[in-house]
Amino acid sequence: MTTEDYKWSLSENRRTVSLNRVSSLVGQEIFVTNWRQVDRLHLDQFHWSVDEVEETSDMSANAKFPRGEENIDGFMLLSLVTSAFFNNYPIGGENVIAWNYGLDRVRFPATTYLEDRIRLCVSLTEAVQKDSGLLMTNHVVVEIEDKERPAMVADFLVMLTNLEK
Amino acid sequence: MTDIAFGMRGKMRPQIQPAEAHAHVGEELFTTDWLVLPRSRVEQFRVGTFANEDDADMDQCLTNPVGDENVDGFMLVSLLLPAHFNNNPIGEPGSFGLNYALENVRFPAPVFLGNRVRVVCTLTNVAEHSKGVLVTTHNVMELENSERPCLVADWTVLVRTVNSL
Repeated sequence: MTTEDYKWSLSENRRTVSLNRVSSLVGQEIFVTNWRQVDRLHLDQFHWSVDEVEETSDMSANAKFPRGEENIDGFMLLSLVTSAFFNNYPIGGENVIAWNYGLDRVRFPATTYLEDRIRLCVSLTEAVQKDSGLLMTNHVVVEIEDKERPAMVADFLVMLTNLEK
Repeated sequence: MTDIAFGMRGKMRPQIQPAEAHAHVGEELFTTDWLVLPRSRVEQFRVGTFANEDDADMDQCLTNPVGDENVDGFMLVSLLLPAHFNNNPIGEPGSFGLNYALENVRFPAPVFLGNRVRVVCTLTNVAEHSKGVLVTTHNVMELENSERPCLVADWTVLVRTVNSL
């Protein structure tokens, strides 16, 4: 195990497809990440940052959760999508900025634990021109190695705006 | 001003038995205290979720006009955890919630460091499930001095009771 097994790798194809070429990608898988784990230190940082700790919140409702300490929260998995997109999203370029627009149909089919290796598979399902930019619907599947059911599925909506216009 | 998320009022919250929750559909379940979002917490969240320069290509964010003063949308989503841990009245001794689904997540207004937010939570649906009770709430995260909220989300939690184990 090296530290690289605990990070999203960096794709050379990130932000190489300009906005006017997006239509050719609709319906396609646009990136798949490396397999990686989440380490205890980062999971704890996440817990602390959002007060999901006994020192500041009433965690008694969580006490009976099986293997709660080793569980990777659904919202941690969700939040890892941001950094995966930073390192891999193939659409963009200079002067193009991406806004977190929203989420639809988010599910957490399988419980995920620290020992699991996960990766993101992302398909572009829709791209719609709006007044403020290009609204992309990205179907995200967080797979768990050697498991049939994914850790998370979600439609992640990203608005791409070209600052030059 | 407290750093403690959404107060500890949950310690004294009245209990609604999961089996009785259906009688409360349509009711507001809770409104949290105001919570300030300081830089230290937002940076901790970014480290925890690998959305920082050591772990991800953050170049895209450098051109973003709202820049690093902006609080990440998925951090707002994640803050629903302490809001509910500390305030949601539905539960009974030994019960726990599994993060089941999110729908209709939108970020109407951007949030910046130092802004204050609070969660207004309404019970919108209760459904039987083979492993417990599915409880859906409509969550509006209000932004102080802003007409538009910074987050709206429908969140479904599978409440497992002692009887369902």
